[in-house]
Amino acid sequence: MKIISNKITLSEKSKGNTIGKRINWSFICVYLLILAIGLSILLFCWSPIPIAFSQLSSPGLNSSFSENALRINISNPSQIIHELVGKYIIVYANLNYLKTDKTSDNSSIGGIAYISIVDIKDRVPVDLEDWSVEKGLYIPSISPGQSLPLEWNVRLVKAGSYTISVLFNENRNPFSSPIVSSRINLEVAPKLNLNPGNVLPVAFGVPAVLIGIFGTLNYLRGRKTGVYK
Amino acid sequence: MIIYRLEISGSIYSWRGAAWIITAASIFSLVAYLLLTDKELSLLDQGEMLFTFSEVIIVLGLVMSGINSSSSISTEIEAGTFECLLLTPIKHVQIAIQKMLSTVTIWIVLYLISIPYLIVLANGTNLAISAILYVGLYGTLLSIAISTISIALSWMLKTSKNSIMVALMIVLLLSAPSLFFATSLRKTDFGIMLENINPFSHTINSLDSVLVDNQQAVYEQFTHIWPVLVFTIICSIIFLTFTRKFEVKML
Amino acid sequence: MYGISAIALEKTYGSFRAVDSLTFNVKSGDIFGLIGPNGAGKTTTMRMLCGTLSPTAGKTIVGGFDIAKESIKIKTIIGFLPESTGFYNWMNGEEYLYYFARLYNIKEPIARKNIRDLLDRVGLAAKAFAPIAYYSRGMKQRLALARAMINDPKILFLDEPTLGMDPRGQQEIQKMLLDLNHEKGVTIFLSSHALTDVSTFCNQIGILNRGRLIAHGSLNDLRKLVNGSTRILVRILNTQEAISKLSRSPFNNTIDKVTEESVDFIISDDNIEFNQLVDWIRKENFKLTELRQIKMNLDEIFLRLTNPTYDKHSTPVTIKKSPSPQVGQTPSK
Repeated sequence: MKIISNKITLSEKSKGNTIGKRINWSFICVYLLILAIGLSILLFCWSPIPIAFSQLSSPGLNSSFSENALRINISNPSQIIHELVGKYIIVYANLNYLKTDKTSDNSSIGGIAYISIVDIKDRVPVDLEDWSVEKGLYIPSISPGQSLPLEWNVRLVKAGSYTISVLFNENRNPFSSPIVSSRINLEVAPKLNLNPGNVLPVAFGVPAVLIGIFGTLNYLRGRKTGVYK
Repeated sequence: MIIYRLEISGSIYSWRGAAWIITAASIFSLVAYLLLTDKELSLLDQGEMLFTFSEVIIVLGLVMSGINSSSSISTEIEAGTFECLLLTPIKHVQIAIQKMLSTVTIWIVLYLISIPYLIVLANGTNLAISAILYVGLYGTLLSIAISTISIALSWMLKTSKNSIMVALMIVLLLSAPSLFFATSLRKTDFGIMLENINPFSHTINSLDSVLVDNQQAVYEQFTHIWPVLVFTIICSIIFLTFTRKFEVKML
Repeated sequence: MYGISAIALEKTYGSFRAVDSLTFNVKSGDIFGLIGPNGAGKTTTMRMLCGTLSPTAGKTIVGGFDIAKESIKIKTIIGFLPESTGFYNWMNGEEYLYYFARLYNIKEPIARKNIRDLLDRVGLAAKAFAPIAYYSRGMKQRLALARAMINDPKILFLDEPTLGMDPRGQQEIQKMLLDLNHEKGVTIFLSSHALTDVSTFCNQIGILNRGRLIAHGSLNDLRKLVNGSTRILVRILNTQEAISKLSRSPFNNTIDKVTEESVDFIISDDNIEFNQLVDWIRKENFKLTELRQIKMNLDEIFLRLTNPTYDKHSTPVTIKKSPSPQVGQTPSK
């Protein structure tokens, strides 16, 4: 009973409050929307502001974001990958050049696509030395409208939680920002290789057998030469 | 192959070679046991374990080849047995070749002993055969190279102390960039140049690529195999040039 | 026919001249003893003759072969016992000899038979299967000698062959070498500091000093070289009268020694002087107690010839001149 009355009280309270808030917030949202549209028109119509943007950034950046419309995204079916240490996974990605205008001679662009793995627990990017043979893939050119499938073989060296993202640096402008894909999660479970059952006979057996063989050979020789009677 | 047979018998009966083999087997046992029974070490991927173990095999093989071959001539000179060998109607270079073959044979025995350990460490992976073949290939080539150059040194220097020291220096110089240089130094132009000309670095990089990066095909490793092969050929040429004629030391 | 010929042989180490213009010949079947003080160049010479050391200049012909061109052929016909031979101590004597027999490419049955014979000859048959590590110094020397003879050599080079042996062992080895020389005509070239042995054993002797051959010939030739002629000891009974008469005689300066019992004269075997002395003794009626020829031994010759003052005024002397040998001739038996 106590709970029901509580619920009723809460519901009544919220009803009155929501109505009041709805009115206030609706008004504020509409006001902000109008302000944003107005500012946008003002910014893009007023000539000094786009010029200032173009001076700050290079034409390449401008084109890659606004005109070239390059997109890169990881195309693995799952957003989270679970695997054991020592296993290999393949990270698939697609590089799309969404621009459709093929008339210009300089319309195709090239660059380097590379993978980035960040250790969430340690909060550090992973040194890919042992993780992947091809850290970066050089793409000489991608034409407008073209889509390039990319893939990285990644060996899971250390257990832990990671995020994987792929990036593309276009080579026409050295100051441009890289294009970044969305991230996926990677959960690497540890694998113990404890295997004393297999190693013990070899570890103790081989030296023992060798000492036995050499000892016997020398003993037999000693018998022959009269050292051991 | 009379001298070769004598060297092998001498290695067994004088415990010279036998001691190497038993010591190497004990080191293999210790490393393999630690890798598979120590909780922290056993977290390593099996490819990493195999790579570490292969490095141990190669380094032990190199040190053994260097010391064994550099002392093979000079100890005979110091013991006074070499002059008697020179008085027999056998070409000097044949004596040197048979001595070199005996050192390489001890390496082969050492390598054969390492195979059970490689199989145990590679248990459950597809790396066992590659590990055995690539360790055998690189180990044999480097053993020939180090043996030939060490015998040539022993031939010239004529004293065990000097020739063993110089042979160890060569082994150290070869292995230093891979084993002791920091990654940042290895990535400089100088480091890259050293890695490119250093057969030991090629061996380690190749084993890393085979066992850790799973690039097991021979054509994928050819860029690493040929520099080691060229180094072996150069060492063999030096060996054949210097061991043509031996003169006893009088003063 | 010469077994060994050295022609203007020279070995220098920087500015030090270990062997200097050495020229000599050793006939096939001869036993040649090379003697000299320590550091005279004996071992260097032997090593150059065996081909383990290259001369700086000059030529060596051994068994008719030029060592510079046919060293492998020479090695099949020579045996060399170095001054300090090393051994593979883990082997036994029989294995050691078999190893060298195989290096000389001797077939197994022949090698086994030769090894038995040699071990018997050098007196090691009873210890054939004992490890060399357990051998005494003398036993090792015997084994080294057997090793030097494993290929049935025509020319044997021995550097201090009886070093470390007891007197009986020395005699046995000398007898064995003499038998080898007489039976098979083996040329023996030895170097030794045991001058008594050299003088009894060798028919040709060379004396090397500071790298130069200062004398070469038979023992008598060397005596002549040092002394000119043989000397005679004349001993008479010591009396008061003899002493007083001698002091006034022309033979006063030939007195070698005066003891309580005797007076010794040493004079050359020049007939006139000797006859005069004997006539005088007879005339004065002195009692002649001993009359014998004194031969200078090799020790004395060696000491005189290797004396630095002697060396300054001497030039290398070869008593018997011989023509140069021909390259490629096979050694005569």
